Amino acid sequence: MVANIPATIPDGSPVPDFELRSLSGDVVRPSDYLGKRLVLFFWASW
Amino acid sequence: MKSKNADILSIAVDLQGPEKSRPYHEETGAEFTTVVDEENALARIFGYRAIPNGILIDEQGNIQFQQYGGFDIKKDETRDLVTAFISSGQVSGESPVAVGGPASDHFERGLGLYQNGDTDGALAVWREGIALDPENWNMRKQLWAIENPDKFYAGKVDYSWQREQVEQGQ
Repeated sequence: MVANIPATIPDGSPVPDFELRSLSGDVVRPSDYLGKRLVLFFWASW
Repeated sequence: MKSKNADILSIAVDLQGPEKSRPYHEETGAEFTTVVDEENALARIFGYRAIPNGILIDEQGNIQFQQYGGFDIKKDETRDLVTAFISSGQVSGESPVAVGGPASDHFERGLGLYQNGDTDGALAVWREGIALDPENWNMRKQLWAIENPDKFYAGKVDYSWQREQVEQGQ
């Protein structure tokens, strides 16, 4: 079963900033959302 | 789940590119942004080997909760967690742990081969990775999707086929 290895980034730490392109072509970063709470949801069509 | 104090950013971990993700985004009638991680870059940053995942981040940009694998918005537990966080910023409980795994390099290696046009080489590396780490769903589903595109991209994903594969030990 799943190995119990701690999450790489501890709770309470800053989220690493990354940039990805949206379906409409804009560059989006988590830091664009500073000042608001943010839910990152990871999924795939598979 | 709309709030002026909170937002959702959906990240499609879809290695065949935006055109594979777009229909699913549109199907939700989404009012949030979807970005596409074609290169699996975030798995390197966050260390996950399965999806769906969720990360809850406060106004200051700090992680308050993270779950890698099983963060399924159709489950009450997940929906309640997200709803509470969006409305009040509260998180009950600590993040579950489970990332990494014994075959964390295989996914990347296979992806490199696949992107260079060596599909057979990529499939071989992913098969080896799955043998080492049967719980690595990123790799397993990637392999399935390339070998059986009709089960993934012909309108909708065939989950009963996936269950049959698991039952048959594939």
